Amino acid sequence: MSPNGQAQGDRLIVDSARAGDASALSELYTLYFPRVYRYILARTGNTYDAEDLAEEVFMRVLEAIERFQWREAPFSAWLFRIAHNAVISQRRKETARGRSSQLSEGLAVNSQGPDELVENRLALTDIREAAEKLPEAQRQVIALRFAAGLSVAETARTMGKGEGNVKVIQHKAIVKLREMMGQARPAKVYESETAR
Amino acid sequence: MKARRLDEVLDECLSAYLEGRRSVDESLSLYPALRNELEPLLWTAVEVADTFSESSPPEHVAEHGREEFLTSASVRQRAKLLTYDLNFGQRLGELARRRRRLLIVAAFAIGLAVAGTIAARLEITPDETSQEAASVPSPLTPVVGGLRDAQQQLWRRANQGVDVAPEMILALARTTTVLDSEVTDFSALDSQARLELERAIADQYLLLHLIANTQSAPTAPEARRALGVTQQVAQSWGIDLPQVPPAASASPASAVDGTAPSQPSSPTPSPSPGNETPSGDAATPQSDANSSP
Repeated sequence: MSPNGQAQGDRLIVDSARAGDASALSELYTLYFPRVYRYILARTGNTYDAEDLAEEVFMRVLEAIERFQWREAPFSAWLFRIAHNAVISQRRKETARGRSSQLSEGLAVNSQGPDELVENRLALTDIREAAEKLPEAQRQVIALRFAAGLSVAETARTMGKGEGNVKVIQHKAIVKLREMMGQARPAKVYESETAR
Repeated sequence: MKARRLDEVLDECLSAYLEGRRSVDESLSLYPALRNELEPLLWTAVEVADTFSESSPPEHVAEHGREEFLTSASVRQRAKLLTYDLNFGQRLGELARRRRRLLIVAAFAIGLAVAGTIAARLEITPDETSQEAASVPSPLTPVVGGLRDAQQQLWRRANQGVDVAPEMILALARTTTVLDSEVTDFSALDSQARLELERAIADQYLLLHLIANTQSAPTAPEARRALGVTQQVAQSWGIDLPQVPPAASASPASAVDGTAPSQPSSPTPSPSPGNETPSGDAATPQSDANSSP
């Protein structure tokens, strides 16, 4: 679907959800829950936190959706700001408790066998560890672009930055990730990679 | 200039890959001059994106979350509708009260004139005719009015996400008990009064469920106790209470034995204009970015 078509579809669903339409709310959940989960997982590195916080984000969405206005920002930007605030809030609580975030043992990966699961977990651990060393803005861009699947425009609106700025931050983040991941383990060999 | 161009080309190729428009190799072939710089960065970005895209929430978690989300939405929707009904009812009630006063005065004046004329004709005393006069307002009206006012205040607070004081719930429960003591025989009341009471108790039941599920202690336990009172009154009057979605129901019995039922996590939103996010945190993306190392 084109970005415009996607935006139109989102608008219809969000407007119906704001009016309390249960099927629209369900559709909104289907569309965004996995993306919110991945975003939080990318930020916290903990599947249990990702599960709890993703649910909490949707409860907050329910409380605030009537106040959402299209002229302010696209829905995705608004939603991921809520997710961002939830992550920050969680981080503060963890800091107060002195707990550090780690990828939990029970990392759930869709339809994967044990080997693939372990491999993915290692890859995710490497990426998470590398991303942890990035400045906050770069971490945020990586999580929004690659985990949440937002466009540059949506990422820019979520972060309150310009699109050009986001591209620069993204470039810097990838350069640093490349350096860090290259040091952590041998580069993965991609043969004939095809587009998804 | 070149660095700027690389940012843009990198993003253009990445977007094409993420949207499934082009493979990495196809993108590289479009930018042969930048291939050496672009290739390692693109593969790194693709590895990161692919790793994240393979991590999905477990199905049972997603389904449980959906159920909670939709149940909470349903309870909120009911609350909204009932708030509207209450507001509408109050407006209608005020209008009716004003008109009723005028009508009573007019009816009284006309009644006096007519009764005097008829009594004079039939040679019967006005006292006998006055017993047939217009119906007297029910003695329950002030108590029901008090109950409705208390309910409305609670609806407004609960619906706006404002903390509800446990004393307000306590007052509502007391008013309900007073009302119950005034209704000696529910079935003997006229249909209008029965309907009015039935609606008040049903609305109260939903309201208390909402509060019990969305407010924190000590309000939620108080709401569960008040739910128990409301259910007892409904039972003694023989009223059927409305159905509440399972996750939104709170057992009054659990409050009695001190075991709080599980509540959906729904933090109180801070009143905020526009598209401010519903978080009590001062953190915003901007402030966060500024605090980056």
